[in-house]
Amino acid sequence: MGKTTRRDFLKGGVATIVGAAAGMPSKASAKVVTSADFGREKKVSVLCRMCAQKCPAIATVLDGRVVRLEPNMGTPYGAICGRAIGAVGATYDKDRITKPLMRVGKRGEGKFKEVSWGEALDFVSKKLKALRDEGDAKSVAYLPRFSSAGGVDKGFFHLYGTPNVVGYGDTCFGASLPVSFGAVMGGTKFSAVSGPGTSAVSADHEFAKYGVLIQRNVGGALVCHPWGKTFGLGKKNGMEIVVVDPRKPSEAGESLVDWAPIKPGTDEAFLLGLLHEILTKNYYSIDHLRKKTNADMLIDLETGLPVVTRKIKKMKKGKTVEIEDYYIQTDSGPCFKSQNPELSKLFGDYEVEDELGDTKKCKTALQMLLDEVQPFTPEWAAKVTTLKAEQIKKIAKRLNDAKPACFLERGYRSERYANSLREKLLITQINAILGAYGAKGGVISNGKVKFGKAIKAPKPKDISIAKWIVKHDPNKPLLNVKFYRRAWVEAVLSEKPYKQRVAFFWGQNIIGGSVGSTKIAEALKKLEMIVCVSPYWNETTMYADVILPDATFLERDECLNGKWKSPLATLGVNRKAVEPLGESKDGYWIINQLAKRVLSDLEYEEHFAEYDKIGMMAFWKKQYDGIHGVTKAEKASIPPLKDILAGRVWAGKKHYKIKCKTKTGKWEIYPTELAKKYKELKEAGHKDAEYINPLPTFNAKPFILQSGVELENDEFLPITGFHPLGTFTGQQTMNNLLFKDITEENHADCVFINRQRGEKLGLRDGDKVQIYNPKLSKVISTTKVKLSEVVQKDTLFSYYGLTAGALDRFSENLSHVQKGGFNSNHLTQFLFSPLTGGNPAQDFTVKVRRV
Amino acid sequence: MSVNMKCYDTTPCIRCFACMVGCSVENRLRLQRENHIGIEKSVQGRLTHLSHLSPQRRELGTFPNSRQVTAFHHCNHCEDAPCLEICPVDAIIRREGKEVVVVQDRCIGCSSCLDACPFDVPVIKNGKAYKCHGCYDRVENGLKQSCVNSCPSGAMFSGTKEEVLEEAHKRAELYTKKTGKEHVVYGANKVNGTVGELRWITIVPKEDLEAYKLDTDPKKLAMSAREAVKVVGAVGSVAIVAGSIGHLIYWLGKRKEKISKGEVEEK
Repeated sequence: MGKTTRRDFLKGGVATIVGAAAGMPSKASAKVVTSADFGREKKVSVLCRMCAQKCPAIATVLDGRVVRLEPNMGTPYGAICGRAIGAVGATYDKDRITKPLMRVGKRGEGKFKEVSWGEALDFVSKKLKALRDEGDAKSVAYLPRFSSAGGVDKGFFHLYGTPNVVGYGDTCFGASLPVSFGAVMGGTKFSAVSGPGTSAVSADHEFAKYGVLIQRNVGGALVCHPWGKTFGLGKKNGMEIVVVDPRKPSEAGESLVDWAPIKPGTDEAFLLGLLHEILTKNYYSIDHLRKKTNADMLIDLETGLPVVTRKIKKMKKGKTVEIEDYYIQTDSGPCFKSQNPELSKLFGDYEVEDELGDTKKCKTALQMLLDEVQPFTPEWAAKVTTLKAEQIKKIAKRLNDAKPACFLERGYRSERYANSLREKLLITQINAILGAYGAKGGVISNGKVKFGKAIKAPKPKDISIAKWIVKHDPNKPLLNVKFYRRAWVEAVLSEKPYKQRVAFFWGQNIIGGSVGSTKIAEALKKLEMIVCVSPYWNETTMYADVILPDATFLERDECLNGKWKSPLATLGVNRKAVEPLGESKDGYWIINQLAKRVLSDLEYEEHFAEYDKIGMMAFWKKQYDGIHGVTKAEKASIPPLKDILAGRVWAGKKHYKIKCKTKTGKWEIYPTELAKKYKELKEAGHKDAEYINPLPTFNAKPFILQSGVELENDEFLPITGFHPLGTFTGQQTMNNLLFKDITEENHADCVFINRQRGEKLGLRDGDKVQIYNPKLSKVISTTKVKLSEVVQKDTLFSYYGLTAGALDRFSENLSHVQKGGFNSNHLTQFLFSPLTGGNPAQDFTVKVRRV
Repeated sequence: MSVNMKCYDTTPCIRCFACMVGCSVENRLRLQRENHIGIEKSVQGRLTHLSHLSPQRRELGTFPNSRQVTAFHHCNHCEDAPCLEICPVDAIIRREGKEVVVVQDRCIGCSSCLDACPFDVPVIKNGKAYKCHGCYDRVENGLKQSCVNSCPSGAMFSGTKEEVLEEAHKRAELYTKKTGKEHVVYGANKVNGTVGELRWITIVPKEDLEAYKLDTDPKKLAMSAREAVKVVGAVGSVAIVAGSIGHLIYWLGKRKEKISKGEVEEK
C-alpha cells in the first residue's frame, strides 16, 4: 500500500487524528480497507453551526465532499452532538437555497424568481445607497442570527450609518438573565443592560455533587462543548441531580434521577419554597455569608436602601479601586463594614443614626430576606407547583449536604413567562447563599478571548431604537439595548422613534423564532425592502424581497472565535472544508460586494480594500494582533496565528472564580441597585414595579396565573423543549433525513399531553388534533397527539423546531417536512415581559380539540 | 489481536443520539468510498438499514412515578454468535478482533441470521443482511468505532476486552456505592448458552436490566428449526458462493487501483 498523504495545514491537533490512521499495518481479508483509505481523507478544523454554539469539530473531506464530522479533541472538553454529526445532511440538503432569488408575487406569498448575483446585489445596494444619501441610514435595521460574516457584518452596518444592529437575544439570554444576574453580581447598568447572559457562567458539573436542573436541561439539548461533555463527566463521577421540569427529559438520565414534575409557569413558587427551607433550616455558612455577601448590610426599612454608605478606596490585585462601604451592626453598635468585617450581625432589627443624625429603623439584609420569605413555606409552594412539600424540603437538604459543590441551573432560551426575571433572581440569590459561585463543583465564570476589531467603524450619529425606548417607553426601562428584535418590531408598527424602511435578516427567523409570529409578519409587510441571507427556508425567508444564498459553515472561512460557554478561555477558527454548493457565497464575500457598492471610495479603501486583495488574512491579522482578555501566562501560551489557522484550538486554564462587579464588591443577596430602581418605579406608581422587588414576593406573577381561574378540561399550558436532534426553527434539522428515524421513534412530530388528561378528553395516541390559543383563535395548529406518562397534568409539551407549525407555507419548499405540526410561537399574542421587554414564550394557554 | 470490546454506560449518557447519527453517517461515507455513491446522494435517503444502532423508546410506570427509557438496539457481537453458526453460505465471519461481520458479497439474503439472532438484530434489505460490523475497518486501522468516537459524554468507550472490562467494573462499583443500588455490567460474563459472552456490554442498574431490554436469557426457537434448512441451503448456494468469490477477487483488484488513484489525486 502506498504512503499516506497529508496537507501541510493539517499540523497540530488535527494531525494527531490523521497520524493515528497513518502508518498502521494493513490487514487484508474480506474487505480490504487500509490506513491508506483513511490517510487520503483531508481533515479540516471547523466550528459547528448546526446550532449557535460553534463546538470545535474536525470535518473529513473525501473526494471533494464532507463525509464526516467528529469532535476536535484539541480542547479538554472536545465534544459534538448528533446535530453536528448530521451536518452533512444539512449541507447536501437538495432543498437548500443555492441561487439568489427575488420576489415575484405579493410579499409573504413566497413566490420567487432566480436572478444573478449581480442583479440581486445591485437591487439591494441601490436601495441602501439611496437611503444613506437621503440621510436616513437609521431606517435600515440589521438583524443577524446565524451570520456567516461574524466579526465584520455589524461593523459594516455601523459604517453604513445605522445604529440599529438588532440582536435576537431578547427571546433567549438577553432580557431577564443579565438583569437578574447583574442585580446580585453587578455589571449591569439599569438604564442600559449589558453583560452576563447565558455565556457568563457554567456549572462545574465535572466536580459537582448535586445539581438542580431547572429552566434548562444541559444534558443534551444544547452546548455539547463543553456542557454536554462536562455533564457526562459529572454523572460518571457520581454527580446526582434533580430535574425540575413539567416533562421528564431523558437527556438528564433515565435511571435513578429524581424528577419534580412542576406545573408550568410556577418555578418562582418552587424557588420561594426552596429559599424558605434554606433560610429557616440555616442551610448556609455564616462565615461565607459574612465574607462574600452583603447579608450583614443594614437596610433602612423606609427606603429599602442601605442606611449609611460611603465611598472608600481599596487595593484589589495591585490596583486602587473605589468601593461602596456600608453600615453593619456589631456588639458595640453600628459601624462601616470595612471597619469591622469579622463581627457583623447577620440577623436583627436595629435603630441607627444616618448621616443627617436622624434615627432610622433598620434590619440586616439577611433578616429582611428571612422575614419576607416567611409566607412561602414548602407547603405553600407545593400547592402552587403541584409538587410535594417533602420533595422541596429534600432538595434543599441535598443542596445543603453538597454545598458549595452544588448548583441551580439558570435558564437558556428561557424568556418564557412575565416573571422570568424573578425566577432567575431567586436562582442567583440561592446559588450565592449556598456559596456555589466560584467553588469547585459550583458555578464559575466563563473565560473568553477578546480580539482586535476586524472593522473599526465610527459610532453612528443617530440614537438607536433601543436606547430611545429605554428612555421613553415606561414599559421597557430595562430593555437590553443590544438585544431587542421584538421591540424593533413594535417600532416598525408604531414608527416611533422613527420609521423603519429596510430589514436585513442574516440567518434569522424572526417570525418562527419569537413570540407573536402573526403580528411580526404583519409588521414586515410595512417595510420597503426585506433582505434575507440564508441557506435554508423558514417562515421569514418567505417574506423576503431578495434572498441571498448563504454558504453553510462547512463552506466558508470565518473570523477567529474566542467565545464559548466554557470556563476555559478558548480560541479557534472555522475553516472552509468544501466549496459552497451551487451559487451560494460566504458572508465576507457578500459584505465586501455590498461595501463596494454602498460605501464611499475612501471608506472602502480604509476598511475593505485589503480583504479584497488578500482575503481573510486581512481580518485574521487585525484580530490576532489585538488579542486580550486572558491572563499574561495564558496569552504567552497562545500559538502563532498560522497554527490556529491550521486547525489548532487553544484553551486556557480553568479558574475557580466568579466575576463580581457590584459597587460594594459583595455578592448582593439583597440587590441594592435593583432596590433603587424598585423604589423609583414604586414612587412613580408604576404598575409593574413588583417585578423587580428585591425581596421575596409572589405579587408579580406570570400572565397565566394572574386571573386565578382554573384551567378548563380542554385547556393546557404549552411548553417546549429542544430535541437533541432539533434546533431553532429552520430547515437544517427539520428537513434532515439523517435524523428522521430517531425523531420519529421519539414522536417528535406530536404534542405530548398527560395520558390521564388525554383519555378524559377521549383522545387516543396518534389522534389528529387542533390546537389554538383562545386569545388568538384565528391561528390553528393541526398536529398529532401522544399520550404520555412523563408530562405533568396541566402541560402540553412539544419539541421545538422539528415541525412546520401553523404558519407552514415555507414547508412547501421542503421535501421531508410535513405540513402542519406545532410551533408555539405561531399561536402567541405579541406580548412583552414587563420592564425587560422580554419574550414571554410560554405564558399563554391553549385549547385542544380532536379533528 | 486481542478481543475488541465496546461498552455503553447508561449513567453518563445524555441520550443525544450522536452515536446513532455517527453510525449512519460513517456508513454513508463507506458507500462513497466503496460503492462510489457520493454522500450528497446518500443523504437524500433515509437508509435505515445502514443505521446499526437504533433507539427503542418507551415509557414505564404511571405519572408521577414514571419515566422514559431508551433501549439501545444493536448487535452484541456474541461470543457464540448464532447468526454466524446458522449462515448457510458462510457470509458471516469473525474478524481478528472478534467482530461478527456480514460479508455482503457472499450474503444471499436468506434471513437465516435474522431467524437465529435472539436479539432480533439483522435487517434484510435488497436481498442482503445488514447489521453492525463493529467498524472493523476503523478499528483495524487504529481508530475508534464511529459510535464511540461520536459520543460526547463518555458513555461509550471501547478498547481491548481487558481494558474495557476493568473500566466497566470500576464504574459499576462507583455507581453502586454512590446510589446504593447495585449496578451490573451486562454481557461481561457468559449471558447464557445461546450467546455466551458479549462484546458490546452495558453498565446498568440491576433493577433496570429489563427496562433497557437487556435479556438475561436470550433464546430463539427458530434456531433449531433452521438447522435443517442450513444444510439444504448450503448445497443450493454453491453456485452463488463461487460467484461471490469471483466477485471478491475482482473487487480486490479494483480496490488497489482505486487507492493508488486516490493518492495521486490527493497530492
